[in-house]
Amino acid sequence: MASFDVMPDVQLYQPVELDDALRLAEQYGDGGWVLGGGQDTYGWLKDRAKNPQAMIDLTGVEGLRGIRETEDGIEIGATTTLREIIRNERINSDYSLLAQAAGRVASPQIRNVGTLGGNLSQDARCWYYRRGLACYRAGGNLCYADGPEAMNREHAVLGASRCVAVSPSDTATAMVALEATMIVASTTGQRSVAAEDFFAGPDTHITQMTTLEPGEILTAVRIPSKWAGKRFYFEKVADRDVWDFALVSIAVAMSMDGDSIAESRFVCGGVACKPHRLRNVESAVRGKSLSDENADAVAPLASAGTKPLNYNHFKLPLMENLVRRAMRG
Amino acid sequence: MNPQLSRRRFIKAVIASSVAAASNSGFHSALAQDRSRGAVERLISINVNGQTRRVDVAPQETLAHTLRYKLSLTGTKIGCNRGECGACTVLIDGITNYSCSTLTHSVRTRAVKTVEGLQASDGTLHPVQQAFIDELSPQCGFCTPGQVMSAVALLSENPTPTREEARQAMSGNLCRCGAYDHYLNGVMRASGQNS
Amino acid sequence: MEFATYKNDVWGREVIRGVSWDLLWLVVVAAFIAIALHAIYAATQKRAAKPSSEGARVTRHDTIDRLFHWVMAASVFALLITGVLPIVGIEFAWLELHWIAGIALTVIVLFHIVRAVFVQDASEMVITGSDLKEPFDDAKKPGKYSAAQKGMHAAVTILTLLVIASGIVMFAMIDTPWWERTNSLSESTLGLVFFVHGISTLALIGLICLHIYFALRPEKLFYTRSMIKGWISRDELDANHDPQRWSPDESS
Repeated sequence: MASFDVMPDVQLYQPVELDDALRLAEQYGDGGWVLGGGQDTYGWLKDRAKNPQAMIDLTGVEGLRGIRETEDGIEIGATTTLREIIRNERINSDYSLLAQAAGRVASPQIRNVGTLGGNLSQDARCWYYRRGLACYRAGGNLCYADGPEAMNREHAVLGASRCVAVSPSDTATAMVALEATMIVASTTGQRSVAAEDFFAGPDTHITQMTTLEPGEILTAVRIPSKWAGKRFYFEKVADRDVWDFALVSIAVAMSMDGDSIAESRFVCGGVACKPHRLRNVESAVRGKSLSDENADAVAPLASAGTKPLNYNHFKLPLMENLVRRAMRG
Repeated sequence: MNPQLSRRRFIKAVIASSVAAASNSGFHSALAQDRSRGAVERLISINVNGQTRRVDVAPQETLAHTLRYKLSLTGTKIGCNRGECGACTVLIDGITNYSCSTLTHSVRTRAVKTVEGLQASDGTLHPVQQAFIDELSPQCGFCTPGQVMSAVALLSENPTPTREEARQAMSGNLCRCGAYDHYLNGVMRASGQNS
Repeated sequence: MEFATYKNDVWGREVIRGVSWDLLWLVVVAAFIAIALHAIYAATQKRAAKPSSEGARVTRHDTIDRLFHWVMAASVFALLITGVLPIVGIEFAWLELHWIAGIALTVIVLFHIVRAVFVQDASEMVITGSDLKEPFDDAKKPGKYSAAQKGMHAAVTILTLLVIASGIVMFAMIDTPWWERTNSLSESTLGLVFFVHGISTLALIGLICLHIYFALRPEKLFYTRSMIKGWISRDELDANHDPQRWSPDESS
């Protein structure tokens, strides 16, 4: 067995209290690796592409797991597995958008252990970066995925700044559409941040996918009742139905007033470094009904402002068609 | 960037390396030091196929590695070792997991079942195993242990799945021979719905 | 202490990545130690009588040159804020602001070079042999610029030209409204460009600390006033400069 096939020497902590986990996270700083299901972790380590000093396994912390009712909606603990989310009755009845998105993540085995927190804060899938190259995202000074001969079929068409990686998370789009709030804890306290601001683009955080700083842990996600039971549409287009990441995905929440759309959230995944809200579509569909004509009318707005790379022009009609499908009656 | 942090890290590294250098029995001193800091112990018990097994497990060790190289349960195969192919699928508390992407330390309080634990004590094969033989499901056989475990998990939860449900449940297991339909035939036969 | 950071290129060879930003703390600390030492030294010296700022005035800096100085200062601070703050952990969308300020700096530096060479008397700023003796000889007084001022100007000139040259190369490596990046430099060359940009930035930070300190020292405050208002008094001129070597017009 090649040495790369085994895990490198790295310390493991399995705290059972959040406070201990936070202390460890603070102590190790960016040398600590917070572990949920670990499905986005072991590949990095086996490939020797990332080199943390210690893994901090959160799955033993009881308080981080489970789906709870709140005064205004629900709260989902960060280490709740995708399997638990997919099978949760409350989520299926009121927030089926999230259940659908979680159901399209990776494969059954990964959903069985993969956590919501891990899925939301997973790292970019750009293969130049995953290969361990010292690109911008890895703290370097160039992008291997955006050059005359670079292969960038899966990369960004929007919001790139030096780095052109995209947000790979399926649940992230649903969270932005549902106006969820992320609860982030550290040894100095707790902060809550809107899902839209939780995810970070390369213009501000080129080495991170989220605004989580070293020492901080995402502990829970709160979903307000605002969108509970509304009309949802989720679709993920990928090369393979299983395991694969989205080429483009769309998560839509619409609150209907009779036949017409009173308010809506259209969020695309796989097109920018963070979930991308189609604000012009949202404002264009206000007051409109779901129909093929209206779908055709607003679809072209979906790709406004895009700047495709050499090999990903196909994402533009894909975005438009996903909006069209979401708007069909 | 943070000078305080890096100084602390530097001091820690010096302490760690001097401990390792000063002690011949590095294992025990490392153990004692780690325990005081809340890190995992190495000598643990895990429940595999109904038996409690004592085993020395490194902190970063994966379950697939422990099963195959420490417990000699080589029925579990390692294919990609990246959680992509499903050859290493085992059941943990009845749920399918990629054992190559599970830390052994995370299953200490849980029940692991591998393909070796399926047959009855008299040697009778599990219905899924028998159905896979009857349907000639495997071709080269490398992915078979994983396919078997996924099918067992499905049928224990949903004894009479539709073919589409079976397809979904088996979708985390790749077969490079492309014998997917044969495996699905096996699942349907094992559920008593003859294909 | 490492001066540079390294990385592996696509072939696995170790190449330079850029300057080690840990040096930033070293530069800041070194600059402040130098300032403290000078302040202590200056306090122990017998202070000469301060020349009066009243009376006749002579022009030291034309309006256009003063404007140049402050526009350059503004762009340099904009560049330092947008360039260095993200490195020390204050994250914001800095890249566009940085290159816009970089273009501004480049344009006004070009303007200054043209003006200094063709309009002004560039020899006023050239360091000569007699300048080197000046600090050690109380009897010797400088022309328009003292040896220290000429030295500071020479160092800032070299560093600014380096930072601009490397900045232009880096500018070509990102997407802009006018072109798309090409990744046309080898990784080692690119790393070298980043190193030059970073190390000259660090040196500039140190020099700017000293420059501001000296600009605020009581016996040199009249130079700062002249950079704002343009004039110094005849007394100040006589006390600090050799009229044989610098004889400016009386200003109104």
